[in-house]
Amino acid sequence: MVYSLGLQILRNRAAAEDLTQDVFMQFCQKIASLDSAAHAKHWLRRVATHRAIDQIRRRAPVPTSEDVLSLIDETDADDPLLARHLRALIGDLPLHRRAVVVLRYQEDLDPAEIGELLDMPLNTVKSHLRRALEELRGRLT
Amino acid sequence: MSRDLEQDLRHALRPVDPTPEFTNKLLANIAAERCRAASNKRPWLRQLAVAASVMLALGLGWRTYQQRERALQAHAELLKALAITSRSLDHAYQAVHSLDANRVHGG
Repeated sequence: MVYSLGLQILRNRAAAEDLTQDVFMQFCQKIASLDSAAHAKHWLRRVATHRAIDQIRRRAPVPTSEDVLSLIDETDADDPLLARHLRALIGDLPLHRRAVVVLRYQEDLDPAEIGELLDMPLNTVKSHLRRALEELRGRLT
Repeated sequence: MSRDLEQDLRHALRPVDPTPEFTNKLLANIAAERCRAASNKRPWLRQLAVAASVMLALGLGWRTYQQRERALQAHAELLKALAITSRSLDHAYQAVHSLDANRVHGG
């Protein structure tokens, strides 16, 4: 979960590994205050997403690495080219829109949960989702 | 169309696992961090060890002091006993000596 979030938002395997390492080191110090597995999962998801967003804001844009585009192509029975193309398009989305899409379709969170996790109003989340889908649909056709 | 796109997105964004090498390295780092954190979280254990060492040192010191005191006391008692014995021997010697002298002169 943490690695996947980092990978899809940061678009770079090495950066995702660094992020995963940092998040889990912080998790070790925090673990005593997390009272359930659900709480721990929520904490990990939240910290990973915020760190990934902060990292992109602070640093120069990192090019999408080829290994991110071809992540699951080997086992893609349906349409590996479409999946690869979609991952490239998601990487081109503006930062918050990309994070919302990843949380919605990778983590399967509903808009209310995404809003809570990103400290974002529900309507903003819905707006990001709608625009992202429009943009992706437009670029696919 | 929208539903299909959402399904395609779910498919394209399926969670992926990190490499086994990275996972192993991460687990090793977590284990090391937890050990370090555990030792930092129990300062009382270190304090207890220091207190136990101090108690042990004090106990050993007290025992050594007592042994030395007892040795000094035994030494003093021995000297006293020797002095008494010496005085008794003197008395006995003088008594015998005076008896012999009386015999010689009176004899």
